Amino acid sequence: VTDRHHVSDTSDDESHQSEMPALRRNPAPERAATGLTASLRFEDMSSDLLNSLRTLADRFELRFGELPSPLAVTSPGPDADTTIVSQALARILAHEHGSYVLWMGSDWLSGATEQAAARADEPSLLDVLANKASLSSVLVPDSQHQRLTHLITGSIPAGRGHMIARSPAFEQLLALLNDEFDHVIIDCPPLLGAGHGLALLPRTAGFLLVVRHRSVSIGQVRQANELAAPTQNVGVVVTDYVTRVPSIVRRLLGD
Amino acid sequence: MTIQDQDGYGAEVVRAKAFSLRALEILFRHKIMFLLPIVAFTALGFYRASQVSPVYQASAVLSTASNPLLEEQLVRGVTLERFESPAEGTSRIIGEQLRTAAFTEEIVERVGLSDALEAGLIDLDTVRENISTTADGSSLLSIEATWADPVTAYQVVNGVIETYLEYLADTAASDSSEAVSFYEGIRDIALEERTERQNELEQYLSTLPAVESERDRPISVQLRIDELTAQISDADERVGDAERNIDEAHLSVLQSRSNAGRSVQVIDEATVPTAPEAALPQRVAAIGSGFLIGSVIAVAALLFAALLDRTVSAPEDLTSLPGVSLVVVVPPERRRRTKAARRSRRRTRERADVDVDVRQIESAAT
Repeated sequence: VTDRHHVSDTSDDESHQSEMPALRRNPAPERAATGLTASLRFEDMSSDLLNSLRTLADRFELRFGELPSPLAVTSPGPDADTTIVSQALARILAHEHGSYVLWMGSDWLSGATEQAAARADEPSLLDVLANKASLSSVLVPDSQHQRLTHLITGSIPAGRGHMIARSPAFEQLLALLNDEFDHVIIDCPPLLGAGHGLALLPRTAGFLLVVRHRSVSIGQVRQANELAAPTQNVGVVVTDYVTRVPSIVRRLLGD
Repeated sequence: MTIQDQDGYGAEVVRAKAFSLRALEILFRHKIMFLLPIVAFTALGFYRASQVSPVYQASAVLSTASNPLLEEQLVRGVTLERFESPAEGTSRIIGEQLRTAAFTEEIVERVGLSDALEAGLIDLDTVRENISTTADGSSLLSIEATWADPVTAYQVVNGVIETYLEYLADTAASDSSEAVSFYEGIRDIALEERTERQNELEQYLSTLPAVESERDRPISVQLRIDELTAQISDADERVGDAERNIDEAHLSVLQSRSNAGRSVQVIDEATVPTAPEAALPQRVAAIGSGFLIGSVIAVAALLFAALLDRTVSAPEDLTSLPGVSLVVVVPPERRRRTKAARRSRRRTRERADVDVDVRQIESAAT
């Protein structure tokens, strides 16, 4: 991978530099939208989730400036809603902030075959890094928002994820995408256990933690936060939050 | 949706709030679990209340103008330093004596409950629990006893008074009693010595030959007889002295006992109660104590559960962590189904049903 990546190749850099603006302004994918992108519609998302993320983004911008990019949406442990949260955030940034956003999954990092439905003959991220396919071949425009683009990593052999994440080619690819898109949102695997999210985190500028209410311990969140340092914590999204404490009692406690 | 950040909150305040919310969350999630001990112990209290039987109370009022067992207390200026009135002192002494087995057993014996005590039907603690003394003012002392039957309650009050008076007299006359014992010992020794000398004299005389006149005895014999006779007289004199002292000591004992007896006067004698006491306060106390114990157990369990639960329970759990600046919460999808949304869906279904009915009617008409 490291020997044959075309991103670091000087001659290819020029072609990419000329290619990316076109991708950004007017995505012209070589592949049709898959089932994944079809599920990413506003109306399919919880309005509470969208509102929470809008507020989070606004508060962060007020206090610290723009959201860092690339931004990893991750969790301390498994069974978190990182995919939905990352897709919702990408959609908000694209649709409401008017930003050009790239969303990419990273199941390949933990050994899972992402895009199980993808055909073996379709180009993958590995092909792009190996200079066997152009970058535009793995970029898929969103069917709902023109400013949102998905990076389809395709079929990647198990065990190659860590090599890809640690390769200079991937780092340069991320830098290139970060230059071309206003925001790069990565659906990152969990940070603790066998999630391998820590391998990807150094390539990002910030991370958003997603935890499920009453299923993750405070210690796990603290540990994940400490392991992720010095990457900036953008915030924590607590999903499935259900409180039985009556609102009047919460008000008495200062909520 | 809730937004939390660290602005305006001290870390301690945030942690305290987080702990409170965690405890409340556990409480409202497991209401039954925490209500169970309260309900169970309150039910136990109701059971105990139902077992409360009416009791009879007898009381007597004593006047204790002074107490020979109490040291004289000094009043300095206008400040009373550790001042204890005779009534309070007497009440304290009776309370202390009740904690001893000898005093309580004496009461039981006077009341005539020794057989019940030996049979195990009652114990000394039962007797103690049913006796109370209260100082009323500086000199009045009230002694109360409760029992299941009125006569025993009356007897217990009298038994306490008699036993205390006996104790008081014995203690007040203890010095004189010791003097009696001392002089009795001296008298016994003198009597023994006198008897010894008398026997010796008789034995000596029996060994002497018979003479017509005492003057016929040799001088040495006469001297020996005079010596033994003098010793007998000396012993007699000591016995007499001891008995005089004994009489004086006995008199002192009687005076001390009399003085002790005069220090306590029965103002209102105990009477046999004619009606039982109201059982309501005891029943309320039984129920209240059950509720209180259950509540304490429930609160302790709640605090223990809150300390053990380390899952993310509230946004405040995370805002106190270093590096976490913003926390947002997202309710689950199903929680968003408000009444309005359900009503809207129901109307949509109803409209659809009406449309189907209209189409069916139209198709039937055509």
